[in-house]
Amino acid sequence: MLALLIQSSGFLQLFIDTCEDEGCEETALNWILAAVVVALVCALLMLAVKWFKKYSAITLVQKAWSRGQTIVLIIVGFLPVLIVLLIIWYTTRNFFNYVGVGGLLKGVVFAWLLYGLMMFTGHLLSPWRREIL
Amino acid sequence: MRNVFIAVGGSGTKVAEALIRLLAIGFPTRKENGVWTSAGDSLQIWRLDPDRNSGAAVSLGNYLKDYDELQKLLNGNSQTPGIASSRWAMDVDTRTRHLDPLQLPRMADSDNSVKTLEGILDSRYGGIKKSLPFLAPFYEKKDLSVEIDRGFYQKPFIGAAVMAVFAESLRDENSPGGKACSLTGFQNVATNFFLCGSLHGGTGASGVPIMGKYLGSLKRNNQSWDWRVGACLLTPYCVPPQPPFGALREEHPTPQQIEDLVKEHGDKPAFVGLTIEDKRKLVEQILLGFYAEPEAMEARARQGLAYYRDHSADYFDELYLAGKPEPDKLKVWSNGGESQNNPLNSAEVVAALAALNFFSRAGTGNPESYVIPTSTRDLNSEKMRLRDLPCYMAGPDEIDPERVFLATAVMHHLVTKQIPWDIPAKSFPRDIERLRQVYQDNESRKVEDCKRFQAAAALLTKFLMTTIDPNPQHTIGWAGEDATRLWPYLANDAGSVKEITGKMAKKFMGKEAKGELELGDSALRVSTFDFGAWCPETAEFTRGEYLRLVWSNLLARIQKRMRLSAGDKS
Repeated sequence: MLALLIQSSGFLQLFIDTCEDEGCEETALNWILAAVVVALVCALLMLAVKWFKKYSAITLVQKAWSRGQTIVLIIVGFLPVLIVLLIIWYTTRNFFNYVGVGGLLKGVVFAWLLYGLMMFTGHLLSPWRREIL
Repeated sequence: MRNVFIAVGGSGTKVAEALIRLLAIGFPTRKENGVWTSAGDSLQIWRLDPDRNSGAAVSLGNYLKDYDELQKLLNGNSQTPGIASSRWAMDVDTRTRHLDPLQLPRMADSDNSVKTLEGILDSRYGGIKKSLPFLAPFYEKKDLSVEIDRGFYQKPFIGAAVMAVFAESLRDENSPGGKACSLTGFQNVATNFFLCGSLHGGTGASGVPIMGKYLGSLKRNNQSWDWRVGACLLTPYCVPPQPPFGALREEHPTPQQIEDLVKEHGDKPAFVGLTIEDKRKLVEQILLGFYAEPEAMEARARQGLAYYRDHSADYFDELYLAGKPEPDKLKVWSNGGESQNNPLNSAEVVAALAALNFFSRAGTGNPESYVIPTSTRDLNSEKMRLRDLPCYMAGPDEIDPERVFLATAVMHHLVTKQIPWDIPAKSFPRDIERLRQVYQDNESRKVEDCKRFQAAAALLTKFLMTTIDPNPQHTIGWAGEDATRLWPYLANDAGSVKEITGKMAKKFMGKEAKGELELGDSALRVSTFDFGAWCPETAEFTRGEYLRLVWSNLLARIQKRMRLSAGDKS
């Protein structure tokens, strides 16, 4: 239903450079789904990294995270989002042909926004909320 | 409990300084609600010495200033003027009461104005008639005419006469001594009076028995006051070098001899800061033999002990004796005054521990017998370690000084390095939940506490290190190992912090600390997570209260650790 809504809204057009062939909208949808999945996985991964670092902290000072440290962690997470999306884009013929470089950049920015939102929400919903607010 | 430390002479003053250092370091006198502490007790220092501005008095004054500063840093808001008070350590009245035995009652302006034995004993106050004819058979003329405002030159036979007059004057609350002591304020108040002085000196040897006898007789006549009178007598533990030149055998020095010697020796350390007239007087004193003679110290100490046995011991609830098998050799000669500024001796720390034992109301042995604890067989009194110091009792527990030093050093590291002071309190981990709760809505309190803890820690470092540092400018009689081992706990350099942090880090799987923190024979194992759980129950605690709780928990850990290892060995 959501997919149909997105398909009909013209939103998908934003993420592809050329849409002359039939099925290009499906490619755009797949590209968006890929960005969502990558953002989600990377957010989960970075939250797991933080949990592990806190769990394995051997002193109180190591265990205490400042807002600055948390923001640095989030920023570091942008890198795997970019790399994974780049690999997916380059290794998938349809993405390379139809999404193009412009679509790639828009997809990456979209994934980053999603990732940042997920990281922020993740902190808000956890006992770590004091480390970001 | 109210405590009065009566420092008699230069040695007694150095012991008072050692006592202040030990109290600042955290040495407890009792256990209160499961916490070893000295906070809540009070201490006054009385200084009985004609040499009001001796180097030892100046040094004591400096350490009292530091103690006051430390207590201010650890206090909440309330501070009584003149009283160094916090929940970290004993309240100390920083206004040392100077009891000058030469300040005696006067009937006329001419009474006691000349500060010589003759000038004092021949005074005619209070209906006392001229006494010079009676003095002549007991004293030589030079004894009667030497100025005694810089001490009694290790001549107890001079000091005893002056002290006896002074002790008598204390009965009068309006006399200079009576005003300084104001003993009326101690009536019906449980008080520990502890006297300390040397057995072999002039002021100490004469002042301790006479003051002890005076206080002891007051106590006997007023049993309900709950007073205790104790003393520590120091046997020869250091010997001064010979003076720059020797005494004349028989004849009286001529003015020309004095002038020549002033020219020759006037620039030497013992003469520094003196006016030309004072230099002449000092030369004359030396020529007449009024200086400490190292060869006679042992004999004088033996005579002093015999006097206690026969006449004085019964007035004391406890008598401690501290000394060294081989006295340390001082490098700088002085005949009193500001130049007599000897470094702190390890024997003086031992005497200060005796005072703590007495203040904690621990009884040693029973009144009918001597207790003769001696040092360990392998003790090198020139190079002592903390493990060589005697233990004392605080409540039911034995306090080992080495463990106290370790607990304070570890506390120093924990409070300054292992609390994440640089992040907002709301982000403190749950492992320091109580501190987080206290600070999260009061970030300014956290910032203020951090600043004051850091400043207090710097002062604690000074107290710890200058007490056992083998640097001859600071101390005599310590081996360097303990100071070297202690330093990493107190240091701010990255290497030391990493080393100690590594030992306090918890194991990956489990809560136990990775390594042991050691000092000499003492050790403990504590992780920063254990430390995080230690915080007073109420939110309104002071910095001193917090430090004392952490310190007491650390000492308890050391005691437990050492009991376990003793059990393993047996």
